[in-house]
Amino acid sequence: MSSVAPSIAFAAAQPATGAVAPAFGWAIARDLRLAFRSRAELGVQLLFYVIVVTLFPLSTTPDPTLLRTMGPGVLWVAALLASLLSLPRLFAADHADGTLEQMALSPWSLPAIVSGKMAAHWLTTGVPVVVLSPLIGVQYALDGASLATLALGLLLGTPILSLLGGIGAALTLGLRGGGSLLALLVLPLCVPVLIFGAGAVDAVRSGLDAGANFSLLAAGLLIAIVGAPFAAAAAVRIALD
Amino acid sequence: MTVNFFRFASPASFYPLARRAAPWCFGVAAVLLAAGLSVGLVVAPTDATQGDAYRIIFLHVPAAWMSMFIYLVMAFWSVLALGYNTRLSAMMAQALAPTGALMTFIALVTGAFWGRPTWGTYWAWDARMTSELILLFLYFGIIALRNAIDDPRRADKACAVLTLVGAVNIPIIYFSVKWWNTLHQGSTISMTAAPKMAQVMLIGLVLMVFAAWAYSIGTALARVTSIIVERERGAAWVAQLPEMHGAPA
Amino acid sequence: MSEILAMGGYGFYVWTAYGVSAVAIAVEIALLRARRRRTLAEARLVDAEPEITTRSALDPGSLA
Repeated sequence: MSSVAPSIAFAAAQPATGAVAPAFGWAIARDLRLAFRSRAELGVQLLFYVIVVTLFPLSTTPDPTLLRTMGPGVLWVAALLASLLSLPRLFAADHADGTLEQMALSPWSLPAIVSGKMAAHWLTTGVPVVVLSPLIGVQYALDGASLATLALGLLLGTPILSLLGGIGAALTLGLRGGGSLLALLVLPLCVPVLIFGAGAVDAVRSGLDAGANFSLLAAGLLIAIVGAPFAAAAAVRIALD
Repeated sequence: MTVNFFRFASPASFYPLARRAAPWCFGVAAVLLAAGLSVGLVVAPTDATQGDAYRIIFLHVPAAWMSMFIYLVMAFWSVLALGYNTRLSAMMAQALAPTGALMTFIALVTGAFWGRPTWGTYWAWDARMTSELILLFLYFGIIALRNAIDDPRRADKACAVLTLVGAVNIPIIYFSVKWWNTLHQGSTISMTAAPKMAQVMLIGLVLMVFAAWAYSIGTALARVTSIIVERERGAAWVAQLPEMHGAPA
Repeated sequence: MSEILAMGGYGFYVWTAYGVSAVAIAVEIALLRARRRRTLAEARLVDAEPEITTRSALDPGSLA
């Protein structure tokens, strides 16, 4: 569905060799455009998040005290899983119709193109989760400050999920059992994000300061922004060989 | 005189070396194991606080150290594999992964059985055990990725990238788990495990660490010989190996 | 000897830990040997060639 026209546009649009900004801009715009053509899919992902979050109280307890304790963790894990759902498709569609190969062959910086794709993934998967989380977090009897902390933590953490997940998606490109394998590879790497993000909400709930958690999340985000595109680009080249 | 670092860099030249070295490594490991176990189980005195339960340390600590050390060695080979594009470096990393996973598993199980009598529970979410569990998942991920990719060269490079990404992450994971654990430390007993080491205990521990090290080298060399034959099957030198003509494997 | 078995009352824990580790190592070694046998067996089926012995190119046996 995505095939011919974007490829031609891509071929026509490449002036500067190794340029970063045009590559990033092109990639993010294209992926967003493609994502919005199947808006239903985005909605389904979001619905998955909502349903998973709702399942936990149903299977455990409606007791507000207990819910408050496990709420942050559940919301974070659900965000992780929702992000994982759409990761296999990050490179798969382009790989199937040959566009990915063109991206790798082009004079544009592949890490830049890859980071554009990861950014688009975050905008379509992570940001809706961030926006929705305070609303569904209400199910866990969390107060306003906790919900705000949750949202802010997710704002810092979901990009990291997209970045690390992008590496996993590139490594598992075209493999059978791709989605589960991707989860197995990416989830252990995301443990620190989970710990600091959920920990921030726990801290605020106990009346402590979550500043350290946010600093660590932000530091992790910076490391991921700097490192992940290159690792993912290397993985893409490996998958294309 | 210049040293040729690449003398054994081809599978063909490394294979005979690995074949001959592996049994020696196992032999050394067996001797060290016997020595270490006799010190650890018999000679070393009973610990004042933990009684005889502490003797699990002679398995737990070597296994835990090897699980981390093997991962580092895999990361080293992965750097070489990506940097020099050599097959043998990737084969060494491939050979090490299962042993690393085994060491991690042993560390976790022995840790659980050490925890039960001393801290009252088989599993406590302390920083080191939890990080060790995540390390096990990382090993499984590398092995799973290797098995999922049919093309051996693509598998080599993909696993190398994954190993390196994991290597960067492991300190971060450990730090984050430690952080999380100390925040919740209030209800749990302090997990500072090892008893103060009498010298005899230390000797036993050192013997066991070297036994684990020799064993790991042995298994890695033994496994890499199989890997080399599997992957280099079309080559003439493989066809002419004595093992191929009914000589004892 | 019975002291060693009892391990001051902790016998179950100590010996289970040692036992599981011993089994795990035995399994690894068994798997390694099985792999080696399997690899050589498969390779022998297909690839085994007689060892090259030096022969003169004028050896009539190879020309007929």
